Amino acid sequence: MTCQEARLHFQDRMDGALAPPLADALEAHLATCPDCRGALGLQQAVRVEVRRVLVPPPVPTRLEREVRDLIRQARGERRRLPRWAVPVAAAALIFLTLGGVTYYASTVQDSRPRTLLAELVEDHIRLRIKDHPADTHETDPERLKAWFESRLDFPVVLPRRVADELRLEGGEISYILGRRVACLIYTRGDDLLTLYLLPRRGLPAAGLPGRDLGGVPLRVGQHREYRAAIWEGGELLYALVSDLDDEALLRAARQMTTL
Amino acid sequence: MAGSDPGFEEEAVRLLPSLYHFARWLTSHPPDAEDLVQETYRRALRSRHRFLPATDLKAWLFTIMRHAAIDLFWRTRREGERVDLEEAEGTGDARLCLDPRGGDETLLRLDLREALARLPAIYREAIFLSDVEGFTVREIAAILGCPEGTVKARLSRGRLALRRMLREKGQSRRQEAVR
Repeated sequence: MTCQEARLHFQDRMDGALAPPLADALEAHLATCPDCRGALGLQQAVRVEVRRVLVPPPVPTRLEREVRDLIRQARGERRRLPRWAVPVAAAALIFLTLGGVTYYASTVQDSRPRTLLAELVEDHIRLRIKDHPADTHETDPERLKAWFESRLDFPVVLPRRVADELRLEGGEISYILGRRVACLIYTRGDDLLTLYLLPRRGLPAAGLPGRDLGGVPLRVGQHREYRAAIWEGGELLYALVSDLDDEALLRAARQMTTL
Repeated sequence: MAGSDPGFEEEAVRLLPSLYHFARWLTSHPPDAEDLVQETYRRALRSRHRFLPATDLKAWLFTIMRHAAIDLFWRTRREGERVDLEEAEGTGDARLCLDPRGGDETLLRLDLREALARLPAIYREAIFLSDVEGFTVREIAAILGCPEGTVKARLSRGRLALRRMLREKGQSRRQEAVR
């Protein structure tokens, strides 16, 4: 083990998270390398002092009261469901019963199915009602890719081709199925289209009706009055969401599937 | 479902001291910290249906708080004073001026707090999450939205920068004492 390799594992050693073979190799290196022993000792010393010195400040009584008020208010809001909640819930149930796809977040032990389609559509609606639906108005593909990648933990591959009628407005970080994902925002006249880029791992693609779009298997689904076209590309799942009709949505998706 | 689980709310309130402490270190300003805590709870309550019961509520709330801090404060603030991190790499003296036996305990506390406050936020938050809150590298990576290797690098560099700032402070105190 080299010094460089050894130092990569200092933090895991301090956390007690190093597996035995690696731990043994690191200990063997430390036994013969005074520089690494010193560097590790420094890291440990700083940690001990930070822990000792940083005593949590008392929580202001007013703040605690305000937080409890927020929780009480949230409970009250839950009891007063909006008028559209019941029909939407009924529609979602019908959608699921009639064969709508359910996706499971495979990385967590959650017994509740959550639909990818419903979350995509809800996020799309969230963006529609925002005054300025974009965290960044960057439209240069390379800079936009860099913007996403500095905020996400997966490589972002933007579509190389987009229909001429679509105008890229920018991007936003969205939360879909508990994950931070990239969302590109397009407009076509007054219509808003959102393209979501999600890591494909843990999202078994199955269930939605499939179509072949120029060699790319594409799945389409509808939730409320919105439609989504979903396809796979490399390590990513792409989902284009809009209230456009099927034909217009597929036309827009067709261009984007050429990565 | 978390939304109908009273345990969710109780646990969220129980975590208030940790969240307030984190908010103080993210904002360095008590009134801002209080605003940040409230905004964090608002967001958490609004999107609690997204919380998966088998996951860690504390890490989830810390993630929300960090995003809220970025939205509320960091996007508009000026760059803070930064330290030359490359210079902080180097010697293997583990004690340095961190050993309280070698100096005044109160001064050490003040110096360390001051050094932490001067540390760039990306290092300060990683050190806080690891050394104070005890999150693992994997959990910190999830909270900060960056790879585990980046977390390790920030922790290591942040601690070296702290060490350097404390050593400089100690040297300047010694020089003042000689005069």
